[in-house]
Amino acid sequence: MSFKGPRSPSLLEGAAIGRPGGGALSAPAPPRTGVSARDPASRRTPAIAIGIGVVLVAVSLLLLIEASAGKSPLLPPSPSMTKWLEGLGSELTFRIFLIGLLVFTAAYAGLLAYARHISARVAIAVVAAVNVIIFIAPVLISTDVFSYIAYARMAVMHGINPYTHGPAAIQQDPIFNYVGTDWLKATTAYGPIYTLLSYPIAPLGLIASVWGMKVEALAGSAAAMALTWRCAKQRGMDPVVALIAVGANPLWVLYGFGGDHNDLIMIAFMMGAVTLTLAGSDLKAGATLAVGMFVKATAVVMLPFMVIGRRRVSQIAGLAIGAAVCAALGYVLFGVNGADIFSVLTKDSSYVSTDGFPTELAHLIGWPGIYPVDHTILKGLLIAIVAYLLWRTWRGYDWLAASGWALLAVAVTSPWMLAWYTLWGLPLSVITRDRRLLYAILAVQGLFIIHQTSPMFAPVT
Amino acid sequence: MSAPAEQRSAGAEEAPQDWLGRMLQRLPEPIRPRARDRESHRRRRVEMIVLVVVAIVLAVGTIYDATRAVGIDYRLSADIETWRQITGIPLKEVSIEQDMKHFTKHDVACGNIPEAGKHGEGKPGARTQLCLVMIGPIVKGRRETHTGFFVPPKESDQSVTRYGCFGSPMTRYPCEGAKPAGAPPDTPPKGFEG
Repeated sequence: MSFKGPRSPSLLEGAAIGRPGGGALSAPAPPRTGVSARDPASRRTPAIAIGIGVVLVAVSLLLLIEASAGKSPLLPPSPSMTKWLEGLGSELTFRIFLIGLLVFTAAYAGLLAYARHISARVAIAVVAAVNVIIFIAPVLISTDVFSYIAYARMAVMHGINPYTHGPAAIQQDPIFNYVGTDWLKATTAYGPIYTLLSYPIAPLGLIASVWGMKVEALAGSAAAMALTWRCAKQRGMDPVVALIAVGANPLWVLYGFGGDHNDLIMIAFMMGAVTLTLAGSDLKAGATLAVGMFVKATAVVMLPFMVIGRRRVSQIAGLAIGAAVCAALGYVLFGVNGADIFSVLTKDSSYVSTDGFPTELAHLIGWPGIYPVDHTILKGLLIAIVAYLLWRTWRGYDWLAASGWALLAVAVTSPWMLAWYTLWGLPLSVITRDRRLLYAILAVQGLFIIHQTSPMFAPVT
Repeated sequence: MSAPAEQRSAGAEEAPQDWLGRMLQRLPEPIRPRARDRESHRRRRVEMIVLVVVAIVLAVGTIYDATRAVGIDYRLSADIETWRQITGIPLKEVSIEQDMKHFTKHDVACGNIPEAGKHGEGKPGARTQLCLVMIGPIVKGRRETHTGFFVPPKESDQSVTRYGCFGSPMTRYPCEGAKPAGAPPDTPPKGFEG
């Protein structure tokens, strides 16, 4: 098959789209000759790109149907969510899922290659279709969503503080049976704002609460995508490329959104802060980022880059006010543990996952795994990277790109790396002109996918 | 992480600076914040070299680990097949325990053995288990085994639970347990050649 790629010189280089610049504080790129610079709304999408989009939707449908059968090592034990689809699929085996993942990834790569020639309507339709299909599907791969529900039910239904007790404290609650065994005694790792956001879901029944979490994840994912689109326009970049890069990303769709992870909500707040910054609303931007930090502490990575990159008193004030209000709320509702979002970061970095790069490198040099001292070395390495990025930001490097690099560095140096950690910097990578960031994130994701595929080559016994 | 010349720092230079920005501009040039990134080919080259080296290291680590995982899967598969062939029992669920203490490739494959009056193969470990210590490389889909023992029902494989050891004794797998009353015969399986 001959693959005729688009003629654009680069995926992300800004083309004059619509009203370049958008906001007073954006960084418009000069129009380039030879680049497809038409407004995304008036583009004529090539047939091959439509075909690739159809493949993406078809793979999502296949995974939905197979997952709906219920039996699968890739599905956590879950209340039956898709009874009306039962009987259509047989079983979501590792092989089917991994082949689906590879085809999805290939289609994503193809779609990205043609992204600058795809109309806004087609891009939105493909991304929406894929996400709606995965929204309907059972919870994929991770049990985290059941922990989210358990923490909400602990606080709302049982009056137990999820910042001091794990789900083991509510063994009589039906959700307890679905919480991952590793997390039964773990207190919540999420910020008080997220816990509050999950409060309305707690009183619902078991199945309704899972749907409620799915709706929250959908809202987070859709908001993150919409804000990425807006940021791309504000910076004079192609919003269609940005939307496809984020919304059709296999790890975003299948792992992040498929598992209903709250990282997507955190990302939405981060992107909200970015779009407000680009629109010149520094105070609100600072406050929004602070709220994001109290959804999930990882958003704190962006904070020093925003402060150093912008150097605005109003933004620092917004951050301080937002953080103070959220911390006070956390303290009032959950005590000192609810206000302390930083202890979570320390706790997270003490875990070890098989997909983490440090573990893989330890195996490469013949070690059985990583040792406690390696955690310290990795932290030191991360501090050095962040320090370099901060210095570069101080000297004029784009703070959005620097934030993206720092978030990627956190994921790569963490012994506890999960697929959705690679998503943190993805929306930032598509609104910065240092395209190395996007390529680096996609490369890391590619390696993650390669590592995931090993069961495909294992013998069937 | 230098960017193209036209890149600006997300608008930091666009809006009028407040007192903080003006104050920082009074710092000496080597440490003064800049509104724009200055193009430096040398720095960009160094950064690219670092990124490429990191990418290569991560790629090698990932591919090595993925192939290692496939190798372990093949080994465990050969363990199961060897257990079935030696015992002659077409058991569906054979448990494999890897050597997580010394990180050798010695695996212990255990499976239920038939018992009089009991139908089906039973849940793993629910009945008397026959265990074989697998060593060496995979040859024609099988591994070598020179040592075996029995473990009572619902017990994990430990030195105090092992009994009826057969084959060449291995210091790492001592037999310190006693055969429970009414347990099936602890004779080595017919296919075991020691």
